Amino acid sequence: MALCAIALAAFTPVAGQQLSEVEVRAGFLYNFARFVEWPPGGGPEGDRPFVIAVLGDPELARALRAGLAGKRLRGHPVEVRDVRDLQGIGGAHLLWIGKGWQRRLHEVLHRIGERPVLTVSDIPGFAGHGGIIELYRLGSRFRFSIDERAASTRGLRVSSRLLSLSRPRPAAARGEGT
Amino acid sequence: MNTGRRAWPGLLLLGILAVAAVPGPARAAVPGGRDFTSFSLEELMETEVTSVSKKAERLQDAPAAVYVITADDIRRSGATSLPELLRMVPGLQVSRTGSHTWEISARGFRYRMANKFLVLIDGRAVYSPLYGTVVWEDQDLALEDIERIEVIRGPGATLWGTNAVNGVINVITKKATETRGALVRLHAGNEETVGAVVRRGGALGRRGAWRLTAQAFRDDDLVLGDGRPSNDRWSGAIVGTRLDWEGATGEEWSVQAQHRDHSRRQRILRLHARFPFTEPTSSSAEGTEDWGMVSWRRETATGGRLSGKAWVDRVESRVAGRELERVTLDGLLEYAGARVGRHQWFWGLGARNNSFAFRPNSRLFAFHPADESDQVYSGYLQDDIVLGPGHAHLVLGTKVEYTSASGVEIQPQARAWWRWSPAWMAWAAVSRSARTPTWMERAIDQVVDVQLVPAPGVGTVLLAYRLVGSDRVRAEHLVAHELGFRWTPDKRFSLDVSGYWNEYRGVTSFRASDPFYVPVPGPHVEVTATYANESRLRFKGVDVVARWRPRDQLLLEAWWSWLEGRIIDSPYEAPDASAYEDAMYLGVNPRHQLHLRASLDLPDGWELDGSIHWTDRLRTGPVPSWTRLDVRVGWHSPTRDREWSLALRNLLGRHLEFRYAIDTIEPEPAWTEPAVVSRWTWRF
Repeated sequence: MALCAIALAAFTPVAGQQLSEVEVRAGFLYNFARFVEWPPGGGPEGDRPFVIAVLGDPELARALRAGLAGKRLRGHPVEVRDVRDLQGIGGAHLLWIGKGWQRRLHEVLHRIGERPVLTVSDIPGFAGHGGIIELYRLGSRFRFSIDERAASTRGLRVSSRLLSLSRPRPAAARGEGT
Repeated sequence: MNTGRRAWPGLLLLGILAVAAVPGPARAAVPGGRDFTSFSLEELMETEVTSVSKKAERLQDAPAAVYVITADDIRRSGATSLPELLRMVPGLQVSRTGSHTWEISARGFRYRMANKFLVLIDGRAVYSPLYGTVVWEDQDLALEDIERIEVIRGPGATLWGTNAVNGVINVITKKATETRGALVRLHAGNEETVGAVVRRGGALGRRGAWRLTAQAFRDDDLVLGDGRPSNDRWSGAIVGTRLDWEGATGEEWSVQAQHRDHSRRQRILRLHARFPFTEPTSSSAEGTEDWGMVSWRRETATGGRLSGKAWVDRVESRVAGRELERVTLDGLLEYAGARVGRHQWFWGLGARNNSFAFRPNSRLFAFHPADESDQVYSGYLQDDIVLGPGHAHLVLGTKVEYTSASGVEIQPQARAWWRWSPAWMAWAAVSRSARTPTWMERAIDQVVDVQLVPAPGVGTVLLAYRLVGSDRVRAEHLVAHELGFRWTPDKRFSLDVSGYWNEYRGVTSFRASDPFYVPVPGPHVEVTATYANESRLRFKGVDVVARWRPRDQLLLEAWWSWLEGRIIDSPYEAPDASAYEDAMYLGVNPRHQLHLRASLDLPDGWELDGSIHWTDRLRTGPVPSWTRLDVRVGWHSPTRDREWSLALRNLLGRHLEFRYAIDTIEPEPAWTEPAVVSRWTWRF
């Protein structure tokens, strides 16, 4: 009698994986930046760099820096900042907030205020508590949900392509929290 | 000259028209290296990421004798069929005996009826319950649709059930989301005369994908020892589809279906009541198959995974005026829990119904009963326990199976492993597995040989040998002991050693009757050989596999396999004691095998691959030891929208790979000749 589905005991084969988990998150950030419009004066001018600030996730900052080296984002050169405290987030166009900042989230959002900064995080409940894009896991894959109102309040316009792929995080399927 | 060309040229034409007529989507450039900027949003959403809390391990780190054939290995092997792909697997013995026949096994028992290996394609068993073996020539799928093949040598009984006694070959096809766009592949060669694959895939709504694959081929005769053609050429076509999609709450669905049509010349033995009594000849044969499968998977709130699968398969084959039909229905439900404290639980429940029909029953070839169905109900339970700190695990599990034909089989397994450093791992296992009796062993009634023998007082008399099944045939049992270790000092090198010591009880044997007189249809004498299981054997061996990637562009792999068997108990009396087991079970395995493989990436998209294989002599036959050299040169465009390759096989000359023990009733094996195959692939 043949039974299968999961290979051997506890060993789930890694199916055709080409990117690591950090690289997948970096890929999402890169794409989010491409499909959001900044208001006039909100984005970088001329040949000024597009600034990505990574708060509390040095591994993600390293992956972004490595993957975007020599590349342009929205026609601008890219600057990735590995930020450890609130001082460093000024001047950022895209801000990633690491899970470690969950308890001080309101401080971070207060510091940004109404400036056109695209905030992305995997903190549970981010979208709906002031954040714009929440990245979450559904099983072994990433999904994202977008709070459009939080974006438009800051003058950011999210493209319909990005909106069509966003899905609200299901309450039941918490996926992999850690 | 080929009888029954049938469907394949039509299917091929239809496939080409389908691809040409419909404008396809622009194909995304293949993501290269680890550049996340080249992945689209949809591709990122498709990428699977393993979680730390589940401790999902790469299969190549599994505590068992495992080997994975990747899609790249498949592409660069130059092989055009599934059995030929298996030559690179450590410890596997692969011999080609005809245009559409192979003898494949590992760890002993190789023979056409090698019934100890389970082959699954996406979880669907392709092990024929009729013969108790894998009918390799019935497995037809486009190699371009294969994601990878996992080969586990050693008993997989607890998870895969009975008949996974010596190992499991798990073929996993690509999801439809990974085969978007259009693909056309043609091949031509001196043995694989011509073949083509046409494939088209696209999106299914926002959260899914579909694909349609059509394949047709025609292979020519091989050559026998004396230069005559083997008279077993074949051709065929398949049309298959796969759909994958994600439901609203994240569950995954997959639906697959395929129709197969094969047409072959098959070598048979025709029996006559007068001289020459047995005449090796060939007959036209046809085989068709239709199967469909639905599978479903979802993550539970606690981090576990629940999955279900159901499939139906109908196989029909016709040779020399006889027809055999089998229908299988199978359902399966499985759960893999998340780790809670020290434990991680797995369970599964399955049910299967096989029905067989053989027409027409005749005095020379019959099944009693000619129509039968049997059911199998099974369940398994397994616990993966973490022992103490560090990476030491103990897996305890058992499978309980009830077969309507042979009752209850309990198959427990204990496996332990310890990874005491990132570079070192050792594992050990002991298990009991069963191979349940097949319909053939229970129901067959076939005259297999007719000879004219001298008889005292009468001069000569016609003697017929009849193979007869029995209701009293029981399952064979294996108690296996395995031990292994793996050393991976860095990402570029690994050394894998696995050893086994296996004891088989109740191995298939025969009870020969005394000759008795039969008056119809003409007076003759018969001897019946009834299926029984009274032999006992032991096999032990070691496989050593080394893999080294000195540069990113160069991969080297070498493996050595040693195998030795012994007869512990034989029911046959002197002077034939042990002769049958020796010829059928021991003498057909080489004691040593050695395999070296190299893969080199050259600039501008060029590739060079080669392998050398050496096999020790076989006592049965005998078959002298042989060495085989295969070389492949290939080229691909930067975006892989065009590929070409030339594969040269057996550059060291023709050789015989196998010979049957009882060569009067088996067809003469074909020799393996130097061959060339050229392949062209286009992607749109």
